[in-house]
Amino acid sequence: MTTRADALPRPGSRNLLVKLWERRRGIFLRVVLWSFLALFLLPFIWALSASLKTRQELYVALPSLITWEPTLANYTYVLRRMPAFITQFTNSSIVTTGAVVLQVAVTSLAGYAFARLRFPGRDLIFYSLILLNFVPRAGGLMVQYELMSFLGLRNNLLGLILAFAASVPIPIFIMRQTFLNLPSAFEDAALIDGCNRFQAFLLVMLPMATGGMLVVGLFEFIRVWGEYLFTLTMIDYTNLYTLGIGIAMNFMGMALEDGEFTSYGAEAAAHLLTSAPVLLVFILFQRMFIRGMMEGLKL
Amino acid sequence: MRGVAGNLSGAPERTPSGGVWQAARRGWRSRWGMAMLGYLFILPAMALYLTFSAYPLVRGVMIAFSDYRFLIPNHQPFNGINNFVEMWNDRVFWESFRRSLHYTVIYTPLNVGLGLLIALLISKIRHPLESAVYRVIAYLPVVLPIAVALLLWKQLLHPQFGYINYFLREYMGIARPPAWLADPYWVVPTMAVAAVWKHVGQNILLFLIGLYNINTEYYEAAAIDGAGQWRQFTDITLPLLRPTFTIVLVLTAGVLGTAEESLILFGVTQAGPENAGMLVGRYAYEIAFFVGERRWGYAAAINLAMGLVSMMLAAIVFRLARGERME
Repeated sequence: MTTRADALPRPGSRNLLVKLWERRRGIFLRVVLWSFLALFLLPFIWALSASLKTRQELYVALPSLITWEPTLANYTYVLRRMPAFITQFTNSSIVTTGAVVLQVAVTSLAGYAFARLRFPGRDLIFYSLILLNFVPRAGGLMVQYELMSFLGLRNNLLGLILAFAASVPIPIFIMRQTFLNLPSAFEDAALIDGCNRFQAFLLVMLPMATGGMLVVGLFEFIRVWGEYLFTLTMIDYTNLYTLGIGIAMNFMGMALEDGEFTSYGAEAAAHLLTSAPVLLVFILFQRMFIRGMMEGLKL
Repeated sequence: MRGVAGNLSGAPERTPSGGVWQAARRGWRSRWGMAMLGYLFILPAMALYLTFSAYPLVRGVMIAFSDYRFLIPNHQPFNGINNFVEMWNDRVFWESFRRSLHYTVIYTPLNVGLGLLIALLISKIRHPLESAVYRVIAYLPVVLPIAVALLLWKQLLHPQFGYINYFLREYMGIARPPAWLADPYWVVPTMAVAAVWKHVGQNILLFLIGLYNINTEYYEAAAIDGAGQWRQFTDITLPLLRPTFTIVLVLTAGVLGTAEESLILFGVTQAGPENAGMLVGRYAYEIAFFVGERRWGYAAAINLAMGLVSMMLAAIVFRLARGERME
């Protein structure tokens, strides 16, 4: 019996071979890629499985990534029975919201001025800002500690907000770039129609610069939400802890050192609940991150 | 990289009506008003920056040359380069410096190499949605709070109950896997690899942006001329990625090791087994905040020295990357 394949013209069969080869290469590529990505995902999968396990399952000495009786008990434990977690979550929300709003506001203003207004020393100030960013900070946290104590801002969430919002050079750069890319015709029209500069900025230019503002805000959100060392140095009282440091303290001494791994599940649940806002924001706005980095690369 | 070109001028001058003098006065007034407005616009950002960033910079350099002991009131006498002399003779400092070098030698090549490799793999994926998924996964660790990331690894790396050693014992047939963070020999490599996991996504994305910016016509032309995959990689991809390499290397160059990682992994009382996780940053942090009279002057001197070394390394890398010919 003659098969149809025999009847196919030669070039066609060659194409088929090429296609097969291409497909095999594609599969090989994906196998390699996924083995790396599995490593990226491993801690997430681990945390997810541990957080869904029952106490009995966690007692089993052999760890496994699969759980047969998923339970939400660990999550309810963290949310209902750990008031510290709720406090820290609230504090983190306050600090992050404050820092993001403040930073976006001040860097939009400054970015606009550096892009559109003319005043003596403008470019000098701008380039010094960027260059100073690369100078090492010898004082580190000590000078910050001294300064914050002097201002009465240690053990104060407002202090954290101000200090976090103050890392302005790169955000100003991004905002300046955003305003430089906007056509000036709209602004000129607004000025001719009788707006003053501030109105032109607020009502005409700012609504067109939301892309840049979003980029600045997102990076600040991610940076502040999980910040560790600065917060650790500035905050002494547990009721002012943010999640960034609280997560390391809540289960300290309780988890693994004692061979006591019942808190494993609750700890994993707390980790995931802590990360949820940043992960969610990142996944929702992932295109913006790439855009932000491309902006930053123009530096 | 592209310079900061663009429209440096403000709005065009409005044509004044009326006489010459009036016009001149109005021009002067509007220019002055514009200047004031400019300063007003940058004032909030500059106030924050000067207070919380520029002032600490200057003050930090000042205290690096003083015998500032925080717990002794009003004790910050200028002592010249004594701190640096002491550092030179400080055995513990050199030990922590050696650990930091060890850490850097593992961290930097892995961070750059893996970043490039994974970016190359992802760039081969044509389907936009599929590649977006990979990009998101690769970047997930970067957005994760640092404490969460490190504590999860600490659980995974637990010598007895951690999944990693379970995997090595059960599936790889390694009877006695290393104790990782509990073994002084493995502490620094383990810390470096955990940090690579946390940060490599940044480099992957930077390299990907570089790769996506390469015109595909080059590859098509090379393929027609009979260049294989490897030839295409060495003769097209690598040279055209040079600007990206410059950025990645300048960003990662330096003697690394902040206090953060070991504080999270080992807590405040000890820097791991036999203090094996005591990198330079941790050493300075301990001097500043945990030890005795809190010698801020000495700690600032260590920070300053390390910062300068890192800056010099970055400058050298920058020169090397820029200086070589394109061919």
